[in-house]
Amino acid sequence: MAFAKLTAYAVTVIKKRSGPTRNGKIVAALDAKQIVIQALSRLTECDSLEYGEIVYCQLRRHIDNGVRTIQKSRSIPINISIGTGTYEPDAGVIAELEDETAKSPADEAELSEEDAFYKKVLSEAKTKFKPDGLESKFIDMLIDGWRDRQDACELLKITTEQYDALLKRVSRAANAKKEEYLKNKAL
Amino acid sequence: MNPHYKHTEAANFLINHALPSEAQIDAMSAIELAKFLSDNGVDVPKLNSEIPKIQAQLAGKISFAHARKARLSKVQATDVVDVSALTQEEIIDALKQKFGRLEDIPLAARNFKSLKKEDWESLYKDLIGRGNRGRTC
Repeated sequence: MAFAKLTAYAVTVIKKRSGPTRNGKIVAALDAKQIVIQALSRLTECDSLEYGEIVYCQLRRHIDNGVRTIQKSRSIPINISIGTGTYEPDAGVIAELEDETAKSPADEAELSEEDAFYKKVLSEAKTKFKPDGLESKFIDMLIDGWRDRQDACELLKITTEQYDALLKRVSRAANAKKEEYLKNKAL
Repeated sequence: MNPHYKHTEAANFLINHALPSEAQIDAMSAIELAKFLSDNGVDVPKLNSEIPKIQAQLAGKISFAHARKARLSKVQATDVVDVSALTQEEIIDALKQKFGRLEDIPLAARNFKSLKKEDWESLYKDLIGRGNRGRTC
C-alpha cells in the first residue's frame, strides 16, 4: 500500500513539474515507479527505519527533490574559457555577477515559451465553458493575480462551497488541456 | 506575482488543485488508489506483482549497508591502539598470537631481523588492523 501511495505521489509530482520546456518534457517522460525505486534506494543512508512515518515523509521529499532537480537543471550548456590565453568566440567570459538572481537570456526565453504555452492552455480551457460564464471570469481573475479564496468569493459573489466546486471544474479543465498539449506536442 | 509569467502562475495554481495533495493520497483507500494509478497510466497488476521483488532487492541493499556501517564502526571502536607505543617484541608476539606458527605468518613479516621499527608498525597496521591512523585489513 505504501509503495502504491508513493507511486501515486510520484505521478502527481511528475504531472506538476512537467511542461513544454526541454526539461519539462524530460520530466513528463519519467516513470513514476522508477522514481519511487530510486527514492527507496536512499533508505540505505538512513540510520534507522524504526519510525515508518518519518521514513515515508523522507521518501516523498526524495521523490520531489529528484524530479525537481531534473526540472530545474540547466538545459543549455555554457562554454567557459579557462586561462587558455586564446579567444574563443563561442566561449563565455567569467565575470562577477551583478545580480545573482538574474536570469540568463536562455532562461528568460524558456520562461517566455512556457508562459506562451500556459496562455494557450488557459485560453483553450476557457472554451470548455460559456464565454461569459463564471469559469471564464475566474480564469481571468487568476491571470490577474487574484488567488485568495475570500477575495474571489466576494468578487464573483459566490459562497465558499461554490468557489470550491468552481475551482475543481476549472482546474480539471486546465490540467486536461495541459496534458493534451504535452501529449500531442502541439506547441 | 511576476507580471511577465502570469499565465504560468495562474495555470500552475489550477493544475496544483487538479491533482490530489499528499494528505488526499494518504487518505485514499486501496480501490481509490488503484483507480488513480490506472487512470494515470500505471499498470497496477504489474506493479503489485513486482513489489515482492523490489522489496527483496531493497532488503538486500539495506542489510548490506547496515553490515558495512557496523563493520566500519567496529573498526573505529577498536582503533585506539597507538602502534608507535608498541615495542618490536610486542608486535612480533601479536603477530604470532594472530597467525600461530611462524610458517603461517605472511612472508613479508617472517624476516624479523632485517625489518625496521616503522616496517613493523606498518605490518601491524596491515595484518592486525588496529593502527592509530585508522588503517584496516
